[in-house]
Amino acid sequence: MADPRLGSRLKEIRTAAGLTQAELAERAGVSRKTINTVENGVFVPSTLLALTLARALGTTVEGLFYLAD
Amino acid sequence: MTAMDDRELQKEARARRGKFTGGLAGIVLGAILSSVGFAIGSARSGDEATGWGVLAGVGAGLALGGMIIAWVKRPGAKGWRTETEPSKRDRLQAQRARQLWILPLVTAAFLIQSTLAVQDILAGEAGFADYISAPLPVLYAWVVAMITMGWDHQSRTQRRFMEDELTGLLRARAIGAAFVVLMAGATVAFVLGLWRAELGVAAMPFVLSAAGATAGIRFAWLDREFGKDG
Repeated sequence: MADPRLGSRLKEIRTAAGLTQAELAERAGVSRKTINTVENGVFVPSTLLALTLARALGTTVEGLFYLAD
Repeated sequence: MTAMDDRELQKEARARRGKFTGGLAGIVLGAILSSVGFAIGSARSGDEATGWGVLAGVGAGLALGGMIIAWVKRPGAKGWRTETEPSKRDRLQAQRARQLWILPLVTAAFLIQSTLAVQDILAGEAGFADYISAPLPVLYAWVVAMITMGWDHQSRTQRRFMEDELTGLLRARAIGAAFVVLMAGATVAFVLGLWRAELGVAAMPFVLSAAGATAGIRFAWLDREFGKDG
């Protein structure tokens, strides 16, 4: 499921917001492992989860993820 | 972190009451089966005694399981009311992963017993106990497959905590691996069956157990790997 074309700023934005993985997981209603795998690039989230994460962190999906060249 | 809301608490309390009652029913039923099995089995001999002994054993297991459930879900138990949603999610998902490590081992243990029973059945020398022992690993392979697929009772009733997108990914990879094992195993069983039909039949519990175990262990393994900070 990992896709090298997808870049992620999730970890930076989460830590900048002062949240742990568990806290973000609670806000997004997913497991901590889900956050961990998205941050590590192991798992590409669906549009729905990407929007949920963006909302939980007060940003946009484009702010969280980008296409790596 | 927020604790569960009132509606969730009521739902959980209802579920706990149901499980407590089920646990008590298990104790009663287990005690009856065990007593009947022991009382009749001790007056018989040979295969018949073994069959009643199996019944007594099943009854004892049922009673023990009932006791554990009734104790864990007892009305005065503390702690569960203050459990937060994330901790409940983590607890239930960890519990599923543990089950998926343990049940394949149980399947393997029953497979040894089943192999001997299948040999007796194919040789036409089977007794009642053989017909009980032979399908056990297949039954457990189904249990593992059902938990992996999210078809078990807990996964269905606690879907909000047990299921998320990552679970879907774990499931897809686990079932993919199990399907490869199932195809390969069924092919080997088919070839063996062409050579000697009884070997084809004897191979099937191995094939189903291996496929079920692959699904469960792969799921639990990936669950552990994905939990590691990278």
